[in-house]
Amino acid sequence: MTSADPMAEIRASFFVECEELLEALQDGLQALDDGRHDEETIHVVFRAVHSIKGGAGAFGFEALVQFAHQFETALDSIRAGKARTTPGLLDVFFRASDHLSDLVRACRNDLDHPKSEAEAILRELNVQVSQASQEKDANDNECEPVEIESSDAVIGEDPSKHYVEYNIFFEPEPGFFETGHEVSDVINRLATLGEIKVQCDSSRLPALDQLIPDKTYLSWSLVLTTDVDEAGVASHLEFAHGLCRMKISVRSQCQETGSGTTIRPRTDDQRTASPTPSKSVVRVDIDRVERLANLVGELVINQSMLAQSLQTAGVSPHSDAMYGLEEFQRLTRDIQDSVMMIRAQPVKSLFQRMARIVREASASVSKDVRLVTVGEATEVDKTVIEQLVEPLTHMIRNAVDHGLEPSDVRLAHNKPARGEIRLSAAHRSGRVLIQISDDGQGIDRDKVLRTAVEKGLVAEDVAMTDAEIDTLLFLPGFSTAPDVSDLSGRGVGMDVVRTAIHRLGGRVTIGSTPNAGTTFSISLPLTLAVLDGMVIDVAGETLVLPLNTVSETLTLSDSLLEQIQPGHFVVRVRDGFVPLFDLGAALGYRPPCDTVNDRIAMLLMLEDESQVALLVDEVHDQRQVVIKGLDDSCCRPPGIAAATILGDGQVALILDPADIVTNTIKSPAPKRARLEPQT
Amino acid sequence: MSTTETTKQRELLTFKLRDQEYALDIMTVREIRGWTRATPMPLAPSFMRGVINLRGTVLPIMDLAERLGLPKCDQDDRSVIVVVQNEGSTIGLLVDAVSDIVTLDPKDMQTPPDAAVQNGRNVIAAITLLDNRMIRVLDLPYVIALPESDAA
Repeated sequence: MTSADPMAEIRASFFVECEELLEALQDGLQALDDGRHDEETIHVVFRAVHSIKGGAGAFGFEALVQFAHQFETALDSIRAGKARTTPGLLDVFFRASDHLSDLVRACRNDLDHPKSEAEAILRELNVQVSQASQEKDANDNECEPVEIESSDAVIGEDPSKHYVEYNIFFEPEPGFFETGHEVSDVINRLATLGEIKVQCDSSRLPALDQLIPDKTYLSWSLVLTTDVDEAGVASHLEFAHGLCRMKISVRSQCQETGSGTTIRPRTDDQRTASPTPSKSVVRVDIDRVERLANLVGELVINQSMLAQSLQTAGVSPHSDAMYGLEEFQRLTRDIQDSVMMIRAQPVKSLFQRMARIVREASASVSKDVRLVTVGEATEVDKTVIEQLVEPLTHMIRNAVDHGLEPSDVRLAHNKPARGEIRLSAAHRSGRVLIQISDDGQGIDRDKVLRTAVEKGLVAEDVAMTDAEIDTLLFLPGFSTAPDVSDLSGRGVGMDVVRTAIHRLGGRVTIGSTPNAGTTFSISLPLTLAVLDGMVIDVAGETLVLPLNTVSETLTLSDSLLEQIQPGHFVVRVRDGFVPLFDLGAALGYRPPCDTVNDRIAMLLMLEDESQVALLVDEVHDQRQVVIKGLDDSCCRPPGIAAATILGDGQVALILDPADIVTNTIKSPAPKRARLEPQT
Repeated sequence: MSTTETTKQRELLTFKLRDQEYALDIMTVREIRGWTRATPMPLAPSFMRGVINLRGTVLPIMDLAERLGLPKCDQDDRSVIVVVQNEGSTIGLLVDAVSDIVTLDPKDMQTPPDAAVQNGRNVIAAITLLDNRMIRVLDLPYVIALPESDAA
């Protein structure tokens, strides 16, 4: 399956690293944008670009190296305090970082990337940097303190040059050579900083017959005299970090710094310390985690099998075996939670990508848009995050393109000129709720209805509620944008979004207020692996209802039932009426039943807070079930979310109540409107 | 026999559907297992028998006889599920009985007559004679692809 090429593996790890670095870069730029101009942030940004450049150089990604180099140079002028971060400069930095990630992706997929874009960005980068440095110079003449100056940066700052002698001890480990680095590179790199004396220690070199070729024996002692500060020296060696033993210490300072700053010899740890101390992290192949998750799934199934066989064997519930089983169940649940936690990731990376989409989209339609993100730390299953990228991109673009009005219209409506898109994530009763809202014009329902009628999606004289009209947006081939724009409006939008969300077992709903904005809410299962379910029987088939939707069970009698139109019933629950659906008939297992006397109904509370009652034959128990995805080849029917394997080894289907209600029973309004004349 | 001829030879798994004999390329067959009750899928095409638990994965089961339009008949103890894999999707085919594994030369395989055409494509890729019995070699990708029109 995998090629035997050892470089491929190293390359793969380089790209993994790149992703982390790009994330750090984004974070850093965001921090700068938020007005946090501390030195460390600038260092982090610089180091990220620099490390990407270093790695790219090792693999010969020329385009990437060149771009990263230019970017780095621009950042360096900030870092060295030659220029100030202006909003214009930051803007270019953001674009440069976007382009950098494009280049990384192009390298990973062996694609060519158009050079013109890079050149344009670099040109602007230069312009902005020179502007920014002029501004800075002007400011300097007024003797204004420069924000980014702090004790460590002083050395590099003053052109009167404080030369410092560093003792650098460098001992490569085998990994250094395995990743394609050369010692001469290290020395040459350092030589660019200043005067260097090199001494190689070969004392540990064994006799030739005892020499193990893939071990390293040599170490180097270097004395570097330079005006670059220690972090600068360290950053030149960053690419070798973790691949060698390295120690940088200050030998002497050739000139007093004057400002009384002393240079502390720093250890490796201090050098890599970022403003938020990063936790130690293990990189694990996702396949291994998947395997673990699957095994835990098997464990849960196994445990329920065991429970069932103990029960049938007539073991007393107060016996040791049963107590043991209870303990076992608790542990299983703990293990399961922990495994899920491994797969869970904060949605931050997803939101960061969306920030980029907003930047690009708003630039292409020249609207001023601000993205506000809430709940970035909300953790969601990794697979869910990956599959959310596309639908979210779509929705964000829609919001920028259709949702928000142009600035002049906004001002005319007493709104701030700058549009706002809010992206939020939160946990809600065992599900994840992601909301995308804009403060734009809202859905023009008349227009939507008109378009739907024009396209023959609804009959002309159908009276529809606002919510029903909003749902029309999800119909395939629906687009209200008068012109097809670059961004959206190709008419493939929202139904693709809905399909993608459905595939994840989620649902998407729209809320809109004219002139106040539109909100799309995506509700997703927290995990794709386990579910607390209520096991029920319908027409001899065992089915599972997600427990979080079940609010109560009712025993029905005919007197509680009212017919509101042929084939549609409501049941009286205390003071209210709730629509009743015959599950067996809805799923096509059996014809609708004549009487409901003494039958059981499950009262469900759906996400939109509406209630429905489902007629079932029998309720078994509530139990944790492992979700098994249904292969696409057997075309997942509406109303079925997934399948699971019960204690007896049989497959049971997991229901999606909201989907049953909308799709299988109460056929959607537009469809009904079209079908009625024929039936 | 030269090596090129050996590689051209195809091994086929033959099985019975009603009274007819069919065959599939052995390389597509993952395993053969006894019949277990399948959980029916609601609102699925009638030839989809439902899903079963195959060592922890949910496997869809297709009633091959019904898919090919053969007369209906209840499965008995000898009914087996042939688990086949095609381009990453795995599916179980319900057949009446598995007969044999045979090695055939491509030159012994004949193109079926046009009469067997369904929707412009033939479910039978080739026919061949074996001990005076006719064996129909199935076009697996086409058989297990769900035609949109049928999925109502």
